Amino acid sequence: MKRLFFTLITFLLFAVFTFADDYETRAKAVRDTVWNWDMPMFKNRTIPDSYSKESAVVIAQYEEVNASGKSKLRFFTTLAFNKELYYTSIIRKLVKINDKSALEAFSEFSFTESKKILGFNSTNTLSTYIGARIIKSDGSIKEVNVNEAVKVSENKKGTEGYKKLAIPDLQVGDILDYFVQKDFKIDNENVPQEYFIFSGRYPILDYKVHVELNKKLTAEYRSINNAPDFVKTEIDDVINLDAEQQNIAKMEMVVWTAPYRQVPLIRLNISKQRVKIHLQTIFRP
Amino acid sequence: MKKNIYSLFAFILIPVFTFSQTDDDNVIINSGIETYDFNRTDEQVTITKSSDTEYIATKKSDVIYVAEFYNQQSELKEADVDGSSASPSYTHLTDDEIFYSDNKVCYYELPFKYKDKKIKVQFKKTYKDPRYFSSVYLSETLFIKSKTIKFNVPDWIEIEFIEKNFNGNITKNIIKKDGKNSSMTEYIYTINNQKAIKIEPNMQGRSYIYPHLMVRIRSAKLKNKTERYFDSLDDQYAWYKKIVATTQNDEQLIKDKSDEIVAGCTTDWDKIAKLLAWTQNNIRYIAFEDGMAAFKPDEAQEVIRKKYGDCKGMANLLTQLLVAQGYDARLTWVGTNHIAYDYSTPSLIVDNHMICTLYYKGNTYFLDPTVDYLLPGEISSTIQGRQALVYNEDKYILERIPELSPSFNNDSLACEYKIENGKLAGKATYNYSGESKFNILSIYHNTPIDKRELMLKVFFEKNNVLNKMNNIDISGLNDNAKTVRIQFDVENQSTIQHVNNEYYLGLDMDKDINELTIDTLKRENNFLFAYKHSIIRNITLLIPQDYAISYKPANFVIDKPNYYFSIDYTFDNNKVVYHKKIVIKKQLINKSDFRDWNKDIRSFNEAFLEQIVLTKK
Repeated sequence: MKRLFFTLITFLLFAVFTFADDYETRAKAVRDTVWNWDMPMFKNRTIPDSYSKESAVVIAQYEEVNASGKSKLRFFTTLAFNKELYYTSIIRKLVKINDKSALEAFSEFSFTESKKILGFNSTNTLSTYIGARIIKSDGSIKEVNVNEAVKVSENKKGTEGYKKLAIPDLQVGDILDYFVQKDFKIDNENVPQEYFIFSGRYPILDYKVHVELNKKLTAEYRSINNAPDFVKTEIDDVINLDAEQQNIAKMEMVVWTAPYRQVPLIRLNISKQRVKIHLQTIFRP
Repeated sequence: MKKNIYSLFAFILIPVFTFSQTDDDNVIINSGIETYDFNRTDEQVTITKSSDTEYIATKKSDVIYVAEFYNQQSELKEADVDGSSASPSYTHLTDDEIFYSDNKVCYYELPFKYKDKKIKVQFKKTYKDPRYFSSVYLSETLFIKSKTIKFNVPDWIEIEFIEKNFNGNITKNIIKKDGKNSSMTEYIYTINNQKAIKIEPNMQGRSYIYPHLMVRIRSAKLKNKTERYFDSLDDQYAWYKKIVATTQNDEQLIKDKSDEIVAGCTTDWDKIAKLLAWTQNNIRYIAFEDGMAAFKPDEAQEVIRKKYGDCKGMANLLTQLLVAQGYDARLTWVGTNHIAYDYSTPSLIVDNHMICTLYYKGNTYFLDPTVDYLLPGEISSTIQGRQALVYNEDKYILERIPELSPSFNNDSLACEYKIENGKLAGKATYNYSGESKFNILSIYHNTPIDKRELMLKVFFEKNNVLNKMNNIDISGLNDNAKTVRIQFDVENQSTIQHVNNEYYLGLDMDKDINELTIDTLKRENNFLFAYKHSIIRNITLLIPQDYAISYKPANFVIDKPNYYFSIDYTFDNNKVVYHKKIVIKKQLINKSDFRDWNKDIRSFNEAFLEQIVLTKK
């Protein structure tokens, strides 16, 4: 009995360590992938003089959404097929820090590494991976060790919570290159609504959005307030939506700003159900 | 006799009114008992706190939060509630001020659905190290109708309870109980009708105001030894010294960095100022409170690598940078003016900050790298007049940080106006030094570059569309500037009126403290200024040749021990010179002086609003 107990404990510990190792392995893989993107926009270091009086300048901003799904036989109230959604979103920014205010704004990050939401015979999971590099004025690049983040626990045993990272060695004049990737596995809900905002507190020199959707899903999107529209292409089972814009002026958000009436944005909804309206699984209301 | 009856009646009522429940108190502590038991192992003393508190809604439904705090030095053993189905929540305490702290909280969100609803909450926690069991507050954020706090002190522990801010509503009983093998002393404090702790802006720290006990555990007889805790300041210093000794600084790396920073400096003073400014400007202050790390400075090389640190890390870095240049710099522990204690009662609660002390050419300089823009010799009000425990190998040095006069914080304006097109037009020059300089530079540098001009315009145009400032010139933004000077062309249309053949005008747009009256009905605590202000406004008006002065406002002066206000006018045929002076001599206005303060502010405001009248010849 004692042996069984130890075996069980060992198994549980192994599961915990494996889970932690899985996260670290995946995080490293994500960082390696992102830092090796061959995208000229993230190699740009030239900022026009007209932006010298800006608190910060977003030299490059890239967002990518990747969604797919597969059907799975599950018992909810009755035995039925249910579609699992796999959804990844990533945002990467290259930001020139010009003053103390921007330094404060970009010097700390909070994120939840992993979260599981248990439902009836279903589990939604969310994993967040971050990476950051500092590009000094001499061109040298220093990768931030995100494992320096401290954990803020939010339950009795400290098993739930989030992490806070103070970016080391970040100074005025530096360029911060950072990304946040979120991996979702969603059993019984749609993904949250996405907004791609072609505006912001700081000017953006180059902004690109890329969405990859499996044809088994349905997407609905709308470009409003003079945001650029998606260009749609199809390759096999994947539908690509792309939009881009350069030299986007900053926008002040004040108390009387009505964001949905004024801010250029594309709103995207992804439904896991295949809706056979008209001819496409992508449609615009 | 009747008068005596009234006097007696009034006398009886005073304590009732002083401590009675107020309209703001809805959910109150109806009754409570808090017990502290001391336990010993072979190696250590632990203290167990057990609390059982009954809350009641006295007027209406309401929701309150009841919490117990714990950290690496204490452990929460039990949390229970009776009269509610609420579950406890647990979280770290963290906010914008403190980046990370090991402090955790267990709290209940308790809904009181109707008047007279009662809920009981019990907590049990253990302090693992007696050094951290340093104070017990006898007031809470809710009104206390009745509560008992009991310490069961065994004879093997030497302990002292120092009573702070006690009023007549707290009684103490000491009961000695002799057993067969040992004896016990019960210290019982009974609290009745204790007002709730109220947080207000510009108030002193709670240790100045609310009743509490400083607990000093001097020593304890354990199984095989007697453990000394903080019996004297020597003990506390020895404990601190042992902790800072674990900080291993990389001397060569620090020397290289220090040499790099002072390159080009020709004098000692330049080097000292440069090292202080470099630490202030290049290291971001981030508060970390993590177990022993709350007392141990981060290694200097780590702070350089990370470019952020807390007060200990920044003080240690500056000390090491100075030592690397051959200066006599020391780590120094300080209790800021937020806490009411000094080192006469050794305890972990008597200090909360770390700075660097520099002994140079017979003078002592207290350098605080967490306060930006201040030069060597300039000291923040938060530590002025406080004791400083300076590192000195085996025997500490206890210093007193000097208090600086208000003139150190000069905020002055010189301006000469002409009347042009119905406006007062001229050139204004503001000068700021000391903590006034700190204020203006903090606002300036924390404002995004693209909003700085707007910020300055709003600030100097007094947010009034009738005023305009142009051609702003700022000097003194560099590291070593003693004074910040802001110069601009000004058009002031807000304090001048032209009616028929007369001008009615005030020369001063700066209201400064004019609206700083204190609501004596609502304000509960003394008012503490951030620093001692010295505000001077010298404004000259050149009188148009075809106008003459037809009304001269009277001069005004109020000179009190804590503050000085004056307005002087000098008139001659060609010009008027206006001179305003405001000096806050002492930072604290006591509640008992609020009425006088308000009266003086109103008088000062009346004098300020007086207008000069010019009439066409």
